[in-house]
Amino acid sequence: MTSDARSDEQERERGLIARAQQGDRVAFNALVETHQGAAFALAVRMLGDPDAAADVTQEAFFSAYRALGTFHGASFRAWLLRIVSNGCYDVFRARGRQPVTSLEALLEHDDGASSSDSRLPTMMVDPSWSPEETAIRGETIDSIQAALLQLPPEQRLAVVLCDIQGMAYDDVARVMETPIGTVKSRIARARAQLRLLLTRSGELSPPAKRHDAERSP
Amino acid sequence: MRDEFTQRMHGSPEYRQEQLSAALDGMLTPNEQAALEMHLAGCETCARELEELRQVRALLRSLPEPALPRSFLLPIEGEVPAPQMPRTLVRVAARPAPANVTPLRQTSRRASRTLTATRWLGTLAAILGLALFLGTLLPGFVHQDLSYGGAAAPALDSKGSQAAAGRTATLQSAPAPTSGGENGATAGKTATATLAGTAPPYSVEQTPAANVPTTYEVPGPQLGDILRTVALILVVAGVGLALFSLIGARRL
Repeated sequence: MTSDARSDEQERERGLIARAQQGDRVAFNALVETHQGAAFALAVRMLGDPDAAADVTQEAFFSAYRALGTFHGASFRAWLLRIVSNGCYDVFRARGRQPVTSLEALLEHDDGASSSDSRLPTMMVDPSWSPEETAIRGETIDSIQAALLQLPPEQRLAVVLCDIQGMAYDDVARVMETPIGTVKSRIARARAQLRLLLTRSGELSPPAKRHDAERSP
Repeated sequence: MRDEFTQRMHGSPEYRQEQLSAALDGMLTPNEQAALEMHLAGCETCARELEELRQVRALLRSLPEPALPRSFLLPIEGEVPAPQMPRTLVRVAARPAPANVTPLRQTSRRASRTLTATRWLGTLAAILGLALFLGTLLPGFVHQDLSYGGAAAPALDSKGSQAAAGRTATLQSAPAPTSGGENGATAGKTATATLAGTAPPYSVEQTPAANVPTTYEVPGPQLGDILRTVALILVVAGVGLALFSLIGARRL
C-alpha cells in the first residue's frame, strides 16, 4: 500500500518534470509546492538567516527552471537540494568568510553560541505550541541552530540532510556528489561536534562523570 | 580480537566517532555491529557517548520545518528572472560538477599544468628524435661533408661532432663542449653512454682526435647507428612521456 502510494507519487512527479521541461509553468509550480518546504528548510539551517535563505530558495527555483532540460537524474529532490546548497555556498563566499572557527576556540567562548541566537525569528516556532512550550522549545531550537552554525559547511550540510531532512546516506551522497564514505565521516564528525556544543549549552543531559569530577575537589 | 577493537575505539577518536555514528543509523556490517555491542557491554564511556549521540540526533529530528515566509511559485507568464548574484547555480545545475572543494580544485589545476608541460616536452622530444632518425636515412648522409649538406645538415653536423667530442670527453674526463646548445649537449651525453657500452675497441684508440675531421674517419655505418639509436630513444621516451601525461590528465 505504502510502496504503491510512493511509486504513484514518483510517477506523478516524473510526469510533472516532463511537462515542466516543455515549459509548462503550472507543472513546474506543482513541483515547487512539493519541494519548497524542504528547500527553504535546508537554506535556513545552512545559513541561519531566513532572509538570505528565502533569496537562495527563490533563486534556486529560478535556476532549476532554467536548467530543467539538463535534469536526467533519478531524484528531483536531490538535484534541487544540490542547487540550494550551492546557493548557500555562494552566500558564504559573498560574505567573504566561512565560519571555520576551531572547536577549541568555540568552547572557550561559551557565550558566543547563545548570543547569536537573538536574531533567530519566531517563525521557526510551531504556531500550535502553547506559549510555555514555545518558550522552552524556542530556546532549544535556537541552541541547536547556533550549534549547527559552528560546524564547517560540509559537515553542516551532511548532518542537516541526514538528520533534519531525513535522507539516507546514498541520497546525501547524491546531493553532495561525494562518496558514501565521505558522507559517513562528515556526519560522524558533525554529530561528535554537536554533542560537545550541545552539552556545553545544556541541551544534553550532562554525563554523570562530570558531576563526580565537580564534587571530588 | 576484542582487545584489538577496544584499542581502535580508544586509540582513534575518528574511528570511534564513525563507528558510533554509523551504529546509530544501522550502517555497520553485522561483524562490526557484533564487535561494537561486545565492546559497549564492558565500556561505560563509549556506551554513554553513543547515548549522547542518540540525543543529538533526536534533537536535530525534533526541529520543526520553518514556516515559509512566502510562496516560491514562479509567475505563470513573463520572464523568469535571471539570477541576481554572480552565482554558480545555473552552471552547476546544468553540468553537475564536483563539490565546492576549493583546495582540491587548486591542486588539480597545478597538477594539470605540470601534465601539460610534460606532454609538450614529450611531444617535442619525439619530433626531434623522429627528425634525427629520418635525417640519418638520407642517402649518403655519412659520406658527404656534413657542413655542405641541405637543410637538415647543420643540425646533424652539430650532433655528429658532439658525439665524437663526447667520446673524447669520456676518455679525458674533460668538460663537454658547448657548441651544440642544450639539445646537442643532451644528445652528446646520450651518445657517450651508448659508446661506452657498445663501441668496439678501435674507437677507443682514437683518443687524441677530438677535432671535426676525425669524426669523418669513423666508419659511416657506425655513426649512423649511434645517431639512429639516439633518435629512437628520443622517440620512445617522448611518446612515453606524452602518453603518461595524457593518462594522468584523464585521471584528474
